[in-house]
Amino acid sequence: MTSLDQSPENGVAPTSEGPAAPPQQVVEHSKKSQLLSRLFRSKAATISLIILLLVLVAAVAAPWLAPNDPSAIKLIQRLKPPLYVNGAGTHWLGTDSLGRDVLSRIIYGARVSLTVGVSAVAISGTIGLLVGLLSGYFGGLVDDVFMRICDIQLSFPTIMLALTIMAVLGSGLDKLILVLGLTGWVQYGRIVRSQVISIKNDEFVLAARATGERQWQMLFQQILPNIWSPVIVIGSFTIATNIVAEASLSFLGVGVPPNVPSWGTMLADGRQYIGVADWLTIPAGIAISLTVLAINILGDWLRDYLDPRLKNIL
Amino acid sequence: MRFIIRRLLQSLIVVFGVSIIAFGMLFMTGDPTEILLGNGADHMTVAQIQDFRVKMGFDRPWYVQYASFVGKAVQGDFGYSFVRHEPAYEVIMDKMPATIQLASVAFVLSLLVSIPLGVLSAMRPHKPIDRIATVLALIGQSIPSFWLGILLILLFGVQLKWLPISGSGSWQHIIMPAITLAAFPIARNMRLTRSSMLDFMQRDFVRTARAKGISETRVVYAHVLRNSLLPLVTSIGLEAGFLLGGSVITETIFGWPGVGREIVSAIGSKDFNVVQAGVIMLALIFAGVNLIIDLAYSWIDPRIRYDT
Repeated sequence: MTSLDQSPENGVAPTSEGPAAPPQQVVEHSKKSQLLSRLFRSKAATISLIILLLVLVAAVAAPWLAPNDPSAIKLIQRLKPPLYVNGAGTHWLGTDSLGRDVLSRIIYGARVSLTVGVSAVAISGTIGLLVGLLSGYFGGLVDDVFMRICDIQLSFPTIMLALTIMAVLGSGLDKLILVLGLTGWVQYGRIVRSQVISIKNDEFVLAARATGERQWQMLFQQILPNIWSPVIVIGSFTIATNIVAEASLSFLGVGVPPNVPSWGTMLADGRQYIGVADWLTIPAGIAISLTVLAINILGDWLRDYLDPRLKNIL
Repeated sequence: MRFIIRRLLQSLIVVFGVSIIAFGMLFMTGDPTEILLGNGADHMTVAQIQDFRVKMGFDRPWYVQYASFVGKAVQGDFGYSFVRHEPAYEVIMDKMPATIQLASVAFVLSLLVSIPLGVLSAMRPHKPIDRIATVLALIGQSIPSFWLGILLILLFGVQLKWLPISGSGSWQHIIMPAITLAAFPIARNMRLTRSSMLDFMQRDFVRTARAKGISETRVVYAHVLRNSLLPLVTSIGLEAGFLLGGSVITETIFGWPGVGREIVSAIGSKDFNVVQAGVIMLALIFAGVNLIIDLAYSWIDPRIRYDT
């Protein structure tokens, strides 16, 4: 990698330069510590990070943390109120209409939310990045076709598109991830395209072209390292959007199958008992809202840290 | 003129794409007969299934089917609703006024709340009012609409009993669905107005206006706000899509008799003609609104016409 590759795309001043520069590892370490110290200076971002770490721990360690089997049906235990309502019983957050433990389902629900959120972002990010790179760099017909596909997809509200496809394919975690991944790439594509267009005639790209680098080298070794910031920022926001989309589709009955513990399906079940058992909806709603809020706050912080200029486009 | 023709062509391509998606939905798993019959196919003989396939025209090549689909769709013929036993187009158009009514109220509400809040925030940056508005906007963007709807039902419907929790027919019925649908646009437009105003406040022409001794109120409203609202016009186009898409969830929660709830109900009963009709009609309205807004925008801000 040339020094041109490391042009300060993130707006953070390099810690040191020139022949006396410390080894790469030290620079990386100092960047990390700078990131963390900036993060911990923001109370909102720190609290958000803690919330997200808790959700992550719940998702990873669900089998050990959950007090009960989230799918175990015990009709004799149905609609038992939580401890905070009557101060008695063995279910902290009560039980649902089939006698399943609400707390255990909330803990397992974190798995579904994070799995869908992150996996769909990986799919949409990869597609959007590739399409945006090619479209922005080559222009012409490739760009025209891409822009028209964008127009078509943007003319369809994403939730409507996902709902339509899921209605035909049937519910399922894998299908949901695929659908959200395939319907969410346009945003990445558009931003990446505009970033590529804005830097493809910069001197460091022209210099690399003059040295005879191949097209793919220009794209992946010169341009790509300089457009990561918006991709990372959109990625963080899109995880939140995907979590809401998963919950929304599950709420409408076309997301994950009803037996899979998901925050969306819990809200859908709880809606039928809204007047008699609000513990079926409130914990799940708080879980989704807090997680999404935490991701959005961290996304905002990340955007301001990586490149404050992105505020105008993201 | 060139811009208008170009924009009209884009809209035509969008309509073509939407028709492909709506038509293609039945072919996603390979055989549309299988999708339409569902589990019912288990109780049918191979000959009966084949008869159904021929009757529906699924034995023809896909491009013939697509041409036939488009030919009928432009005449408002999307086939019959298997459940309601009436034309799918009529099923959807009967529900359209309710959806447009809800989306319009939510749209007006979002502008009435977001713009004044954004202006207040920008005029007192980093002061308590700004911080409160910013936090509210962040919450508004993070709270899923179905959860907000449930909270409103719990508070104003179940606990306080101030508002009806579902249905339609009176002005009270529309309050909670409209707030639920407008929450996200309020948050987004408020943030957009705030950041746009803060940006314009730094511009030279504003500094000049201030230097000339113009009152602060006039500077804010006549110079800054007028210019700051331009980006909002573009956002309004996207908002139309959000309001129409969001209606699916909001209408389902509140039992609002609109297109969104009809589509969800049709999906549940595998009444795909109604789903196709609903999706296409909503997408057409969205494309139409966006076209009008883009043309209006190019008229308000001539730079758009020259840039394209």
